[in-house]
Amino acid sequence: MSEPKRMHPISIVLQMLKLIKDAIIPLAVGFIAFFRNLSEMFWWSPFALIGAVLLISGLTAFLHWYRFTYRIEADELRLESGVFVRKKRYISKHRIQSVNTSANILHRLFGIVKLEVQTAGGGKKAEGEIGALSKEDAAGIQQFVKRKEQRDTETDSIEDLSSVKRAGYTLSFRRLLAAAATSGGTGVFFGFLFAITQQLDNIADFNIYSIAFDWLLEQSLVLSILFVIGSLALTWMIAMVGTVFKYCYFQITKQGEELFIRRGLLEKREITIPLHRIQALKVEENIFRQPFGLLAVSAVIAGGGAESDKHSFSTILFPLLKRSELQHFLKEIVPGFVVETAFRKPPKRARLRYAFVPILISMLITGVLVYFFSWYGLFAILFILLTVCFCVLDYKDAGVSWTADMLTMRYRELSRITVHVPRKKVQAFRESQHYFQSKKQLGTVKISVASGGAAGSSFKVRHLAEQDAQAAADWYSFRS
Amino acid sequence: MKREPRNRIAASVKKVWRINAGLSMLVPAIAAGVPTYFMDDWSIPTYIIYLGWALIVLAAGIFIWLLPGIRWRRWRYEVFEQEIYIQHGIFIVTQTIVPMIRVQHVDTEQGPVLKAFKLATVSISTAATTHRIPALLLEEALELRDRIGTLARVEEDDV
Repeated sequence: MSEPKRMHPISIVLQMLKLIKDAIIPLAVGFIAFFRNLSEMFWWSPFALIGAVLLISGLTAFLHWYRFTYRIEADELRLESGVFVRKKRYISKHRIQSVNTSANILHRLFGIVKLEVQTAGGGKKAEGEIGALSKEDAAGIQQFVKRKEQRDTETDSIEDLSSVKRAGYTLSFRRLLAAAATSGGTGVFFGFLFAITQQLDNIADFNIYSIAFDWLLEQSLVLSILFVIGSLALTWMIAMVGTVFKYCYFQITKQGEELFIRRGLLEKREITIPLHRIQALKVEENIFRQPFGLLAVSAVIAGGGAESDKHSFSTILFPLLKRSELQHFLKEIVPGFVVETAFRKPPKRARLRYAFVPILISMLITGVLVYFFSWYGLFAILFILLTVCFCVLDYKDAGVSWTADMLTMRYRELSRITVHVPRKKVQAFRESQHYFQSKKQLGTVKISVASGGAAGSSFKVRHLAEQDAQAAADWYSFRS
Repeated sequence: MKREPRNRIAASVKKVWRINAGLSMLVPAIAAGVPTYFMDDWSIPTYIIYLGWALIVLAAGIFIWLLPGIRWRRWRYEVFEQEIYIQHGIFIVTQTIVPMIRVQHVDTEQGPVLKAFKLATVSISTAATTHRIPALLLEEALELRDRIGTLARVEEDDV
């Protein structure tokens, strides 16, 4: 495939729709504000506007398609684009971290996919992106990247795909529902709702919160509680639908030294991850799942995750597993990362350190609430109790352990998180100690791994015994 | 937290830090100076003015006089053949280990103040982090950069 190729022509339509979608709001606002007078004079002006928009976006999209080519040459994926400024991007296949394809509804209508190539460079966007190409071409590019992976890892150079050992897991429908019901997505949804209502505030001149609050105060206590529970249940269900869409038909298979992930109901995604590109393995038990012994497994990859979440640079390897299945899953899918459980935990004298700051903050908040709402604010005592519970869990969960070439850290940030990082993938190791820690011979350990963010990802376990922190540093150090 | 790295950074950096701290204290000083000047016109109580200036003097004392010394005493580094070892921090003392084979590139840079004192900053980047040794004598910095550059080249180990 060394001839320069264009994208599937349908990408003109996709690009056009995208341009129109991006421009529709300013255009509509502009039209209402400015062209309304015009349309009273010339009845055809709205149609002219629509025509102009179609023409311009169509032309731009056509040029974009016409000037965008991709080809494979000299072990590189070469992308050239740009109408006025020619942009050439050559990505060496030795630097490719992962190749993903995705297909939204429009793509699926025409049987094409979008392909994204991730390298280790920072930034949220994929380094190479081909907006629309046939499935065969996408498979061709994936094959091209894979060939080198196999040579690199020195497995037999030409291997028949069918002879490669396969292992796979599929997410059952029941699991999918359970994953959706226990996902932390509710919080994200609340954030979204908050953003929307903020916007409403700006547009219309009323404060939705004060209205809701006044209305609530007028109702009886039982009714307001019912209302709150009802709206919580509603947001929960909406968040659930989002998870179902995302992880429907989730399937992960391992072929040789690569992982294939396939998922999505409306937007289908296919992700390819070479095993040796995994920087860290993350096992996350959120507060809804932990009591049921459920967890999610994800991988930190240098090119950034294929997820659309803004805060996580990891890629989900499996959305929901039982704790008892974890060992087997890891052995089958990511054999290098087998769990070591003999943790070195923070000593008893660290308890105060875990409790001090969170409890202080929650007491301050309670104080403020009591000051403003008099005795209603006493409800915030519940909040203090929750904080205490959280501190206890935080202290109990923390720990580090290591084998010759793998570091395992466990800590809590609402969810309990266990990360396994190969020693080779730890970019820097930090041991820190502040005044109060040094009085009690405690230390904090923090490691950094490469990930999509410009600053990488870091994981830390706080308030370990000083000698444990030192031992971990010695384990990492090349001098000892 | 026992073995301290051997090398200190250049002692003249204390002056640089003091100058920088002094410059950044100008902002609160101006913010306090204006109300002092218009004190009578705006009818601001005198005790507030005194309190404000007392705070500024206190902050200046801490940031200009006290902290640079402590910070300098804490700042230590050592470059071994296989790793770089850095210690810094005033309240939180951090010791960092950066293996040579993880180093992606080394830079030296020099701002106007550093230049006046013939100092330079060395920053060491890995695939995930950047570590800065804030001030070394220029020749020392260039030499260190080259040395780390050579040591880091030894092994090709991809992310």
